[in-house]
Amino acid sequence: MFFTYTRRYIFIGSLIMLINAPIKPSIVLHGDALDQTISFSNPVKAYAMGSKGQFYVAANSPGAETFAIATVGPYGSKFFPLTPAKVFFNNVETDNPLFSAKINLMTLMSGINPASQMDDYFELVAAVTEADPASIYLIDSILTNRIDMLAIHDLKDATGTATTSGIIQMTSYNNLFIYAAVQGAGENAFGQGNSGIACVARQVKKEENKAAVVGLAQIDAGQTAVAPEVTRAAVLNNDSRFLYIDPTSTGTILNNAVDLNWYQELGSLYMSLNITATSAGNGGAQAIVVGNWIAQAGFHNYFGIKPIAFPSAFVAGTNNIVGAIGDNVTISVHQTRPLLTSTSLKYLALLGGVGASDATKRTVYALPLVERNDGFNGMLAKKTAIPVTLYSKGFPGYFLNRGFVDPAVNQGDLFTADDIKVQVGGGQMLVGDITTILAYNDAVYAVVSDADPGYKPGIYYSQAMFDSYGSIKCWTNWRRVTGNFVDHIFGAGLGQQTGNFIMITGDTADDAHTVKRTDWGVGNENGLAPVTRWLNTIFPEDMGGIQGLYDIPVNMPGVDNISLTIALGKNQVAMVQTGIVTDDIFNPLDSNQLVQNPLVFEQGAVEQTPATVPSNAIAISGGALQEVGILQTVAFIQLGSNTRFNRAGTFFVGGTNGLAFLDNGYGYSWNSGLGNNFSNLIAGTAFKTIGSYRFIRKLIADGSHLYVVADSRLDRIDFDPENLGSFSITTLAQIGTFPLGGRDTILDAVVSKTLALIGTSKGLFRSGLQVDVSIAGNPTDAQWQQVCLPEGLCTARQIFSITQTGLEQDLTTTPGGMVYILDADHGKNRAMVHRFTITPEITGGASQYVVQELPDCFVKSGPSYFAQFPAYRTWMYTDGSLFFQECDRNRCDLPVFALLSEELLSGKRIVANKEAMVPIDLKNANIIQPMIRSSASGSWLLAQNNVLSVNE
Amino acid sequence: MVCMYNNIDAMNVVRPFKFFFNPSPHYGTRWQLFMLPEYGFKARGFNPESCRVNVAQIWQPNQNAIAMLNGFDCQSCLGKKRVQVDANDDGKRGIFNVCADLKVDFGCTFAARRALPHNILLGVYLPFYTMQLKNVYWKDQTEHKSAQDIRVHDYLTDDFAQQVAELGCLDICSWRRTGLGDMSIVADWLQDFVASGPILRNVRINGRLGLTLPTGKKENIDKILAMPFGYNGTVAMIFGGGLNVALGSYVHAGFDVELREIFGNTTCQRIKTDIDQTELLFMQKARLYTDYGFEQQYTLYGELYDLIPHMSCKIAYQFFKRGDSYISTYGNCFSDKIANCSEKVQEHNWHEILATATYDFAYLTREYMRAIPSLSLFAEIPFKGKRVVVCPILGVTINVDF
Repeated sequence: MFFTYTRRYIFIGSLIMLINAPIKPSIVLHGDALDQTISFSNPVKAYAMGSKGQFYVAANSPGAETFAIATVGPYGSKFFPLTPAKVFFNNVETDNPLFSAKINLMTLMSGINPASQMDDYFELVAAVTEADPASIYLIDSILTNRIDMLAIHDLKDATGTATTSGIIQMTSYNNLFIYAAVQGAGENAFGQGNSGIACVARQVKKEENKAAVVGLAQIDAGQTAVAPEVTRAAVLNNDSRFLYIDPTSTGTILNNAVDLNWYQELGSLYMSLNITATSAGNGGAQAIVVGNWIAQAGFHNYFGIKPIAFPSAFVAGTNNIVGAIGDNVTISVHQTRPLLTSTSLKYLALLGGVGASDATKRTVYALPLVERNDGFNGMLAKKTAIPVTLYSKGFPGYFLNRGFVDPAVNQGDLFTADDIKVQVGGGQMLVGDITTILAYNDAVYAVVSDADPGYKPGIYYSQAMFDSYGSIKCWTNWRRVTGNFVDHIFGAGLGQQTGNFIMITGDTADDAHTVKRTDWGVGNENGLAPVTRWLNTIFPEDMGGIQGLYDIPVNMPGVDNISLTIALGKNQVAMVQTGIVTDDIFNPLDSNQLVQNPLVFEQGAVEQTPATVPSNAIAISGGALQEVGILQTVAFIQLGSNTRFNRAGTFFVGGTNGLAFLDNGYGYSWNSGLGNNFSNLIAGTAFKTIGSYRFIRKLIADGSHLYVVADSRLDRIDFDPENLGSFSITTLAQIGTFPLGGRDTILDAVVSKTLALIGTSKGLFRSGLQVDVSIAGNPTDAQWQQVCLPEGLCTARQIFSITQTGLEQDLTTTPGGMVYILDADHGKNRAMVHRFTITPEITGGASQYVVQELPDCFVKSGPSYFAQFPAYRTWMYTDGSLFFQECDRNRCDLPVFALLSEELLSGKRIVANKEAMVPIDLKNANIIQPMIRSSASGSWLLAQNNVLSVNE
Repeated sequence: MVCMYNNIDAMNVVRPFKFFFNPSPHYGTRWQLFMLPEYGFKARGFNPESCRVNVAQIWQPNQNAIAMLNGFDCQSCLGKKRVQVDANDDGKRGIFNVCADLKVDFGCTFAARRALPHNILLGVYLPFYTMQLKNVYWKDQTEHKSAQDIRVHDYLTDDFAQQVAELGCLDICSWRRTGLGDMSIVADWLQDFVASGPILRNVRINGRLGLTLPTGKKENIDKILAMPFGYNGTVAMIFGGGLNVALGSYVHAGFDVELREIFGNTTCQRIKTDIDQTELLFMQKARLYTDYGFEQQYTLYGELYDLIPHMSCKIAYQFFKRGDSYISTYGNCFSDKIANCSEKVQEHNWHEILATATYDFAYLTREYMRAIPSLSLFAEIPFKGKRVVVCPILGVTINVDF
């Protein structure tokens, strides 16, 4: 085969000259530093994220003056100082003890203000300074010219009379108490002496028609009667019997490490420790204890602390995560986070496990908790517990709550570290030690400040998948987020109102001067800016811009140790390499490695071998792509395990007018996988049309099969592994053939092994239970069965799948995956989401897959949808913590790119009216493509018809 | 399409009773027979901003083919078509610029009046019209840049006439229609008050009370702009009056106020099912009760008579207005709120100049014949309006009194 082609590759240098777009890197939020590249002149360390997106940081050294504590809103770019030189205590203006102070600890008191007659939300900053470690200061009111503060000095230890030698940890996140881990008087390590948990109340005096804040006061947490002036901390020290599985054991709390977390939904305080049980034999310890306020008849409430699990549930020689039995066993739980799942179940995410402190910083677990079971509330639930849903009395019985009620009592009731249901991230974090974890809805984020050699630091997330009861059945593997793999990040928070991450960055944890926030724009110069610049050039708005955007992860069959971003448009496809595996370690490409020597071919063929340039970005247009029309979708097929071909791959594109593939003259696109700099893609490889299709919506590659989802049909194209140029086409579903009517449209599909799901204008269908769609010969063989979309519209517009690997094709791989169905009707301007779990089952020796709805409901009488949008939506996307929704422009109404409320929960109807617009400029946009997350950098990418935007 | 449901009389031609062109009766005669043949020139439209537009653009400048599919159950034919099209409206996609020529080829009103005691004239009027819509041109604004554009072309706009015919039984092409208008029965009462001043010679007051009967050809809801030749099957009550003064020997001046209360009725109409739908492309038919807006017509006029022997010339400014109508759907299938945001139920009005020139043969024949003929030329020249199709008209009044 001969090709005549012109050499038209364009280098990035010349392209930059053509671009006029403003460069808008992720924002450095400005504080008091004159240097605009950093935020603060003094380092910051302690931080807190408010539930409304307000971010607070505190100085890690004296001298920050008014910026000793500072805050920034979710949309702001400058910090507001909160520590002026003068403040008011009890209406008396006085010197501010926080002014210029080094802040050791900071937390937020938040909730409905008990001092207000209205149900208004408040958020107050509490801090402990280095100079006065036994006192807590609370910024109680912030007005334009005045800040009011409260303080409590000389917090008492567990004796109730002696002043602690220091507060080492503190939390609140409720509207009544601040909880502080206090060392015993004269002690320098938590656990020794009379250490404990001090409870400090913001006292409010209520009178008729008014309420006033009186001050901060330590509340006696003890169970027995004492003199009124005695205010004991709840005892938590080395002698606390509840820490030990065998009450006769002894042990030591290690490393002065205590983490406190208030679980508002359970009314419980979780205290995690590093502990070692020093007894031999059946000794053992638990590293997490739970504190609750317990009512006593005729006496004040006391703060009772109990172990998180019954000692009887532990099994010798078994790693039960929160505790273990064994000689000198050490359990190190560094952090816990409340995890309220979207199925309304309460879990506790924790960093750590059984082992020494340094050996347990790469494992994160999520364990189910008991509620609505007096005496057991907040303890670990039995691992086989089935959630119980609580409805209101009477008809129709509104959904109230859901929870586990069975505690883990007997041996075998506790999860072990090997159970995939509790392994957040699917296992250990390979990149490095985890500095901190964050939990938002169904997702857990892990911050890795310092990566192991060869890896890059950053923030990673894992998303929970659920079974048909709403319990977590497994977690996705760790995936990178934020697009920041350059900075060392020491603290982070996710603004669930904006979708932006705030990150504290610097050289070391004690010397971090910069606070950054991800932002939508054309990208970060240290991130994907070269990619967006190039793609915005070759997909101009007057040609319709980018009309399809795909991330090809490194584990996609067909690519060889690289990841890609693929953009599609009118008669054109562009591939950009975004990541590479080196020494078995996958990393994103640095910005100076992205879009190297881009090549643009206009004859529908690869006119020069990219690896010889070398180039890692190519665009192909014209030729057969002209016939394909407007390109919409891509797929890679790898035909690997055979003797003739070594991982031969074929690259397909589908569009409005047909289907084409890259043909190297032998019926496939490359041999040995598409590698670095598109190695194995050789000059002369050209697009060639195949079949006769109109309006292809999606291409799905699974094994040696390519599934073509077009408006009117779902076809399977089988390739012969021994003769790659040979193929046969089988129609699996077609309009006008049962179950689809002549006016129906196929909108989306997912195929994984033997199971196929198709979303149509008639609803959602699945292939039959005993059917293998990879060999079915016609629509009848597929035995399509309708899957009910309860209380839905019956237009399954999008099937959004979540799998452990991130590959849609692995939906049926054990332990199965989940799908979100966007049920959207443009005509009625409505949209809602349903959720299903896919469970592999073996029946009679044959694999089959059960598609079951999640227990989303609003009333007792039956299942329903998960969430309803305010209006029609074209796409949705969720990573577990954020729930994005998109809609194209409608006449004068700007496109919608919004987030559903962070309060999104099963059975909660209010979310429909609570959406927050993502801060991105869409005023010139018309069509927005489904958002993707780059598997390499973790950046969000949103293609609009006029520009490709990135959030990093 | 269609629907001029509430827009009956949104055209100046189609009115069952036009008092201004009625010949004055001769004193002493009992009967008056006359006819008003008229010819309409090419109609013009005025949009909601009172700007002059093509007749197909009196409600919106463009018609929205995508919005046409909105508001239907997703399992209906239209709902499934909406899913198939799967495109948003970006201001061009699925948008048609529509132009058409509407012409009243011929119209004629036949009338007979009988003089009754107490200065009352009882008249019966029956109009007849023939009109046509032609040169209908639907210009598709959809581009070819995106997949959505291609879908809209393929699935909807490339064979749009066939699509709307299949989906909504709507004919968006040309038509010609001929038929009767609504019959009117009107009683006029006249009373002169002679004055003896040097200028003011006479004051004539008149009153009017009447009824229209639904004899007219009804709206064809399956064709665009095929308006009814009357009040679309309902009855209206006419009442009005005016004052005419004779100033000197040659001048008359006066004013007239005519009001019409149209009785509500239930008809099968096309209704709006989505806020973005445009008036020519309503796919949903439904039985509706329409509470019509009140009609008001104000006329100021002056007349020169006998300046040239036996001739008089009259000129008038007339303002016509129909207030907002309200439609009510039956059942819960459709939203009254959406249906009533249709432009067609909103107020419409027009301003026009009327002119007549009459030659009265009474001066020649009175002494010798029982019948007294008169002949008038008249013209109606609309110059402004709102949500209305207006047509300049030239006509003749042929009258015989006896």
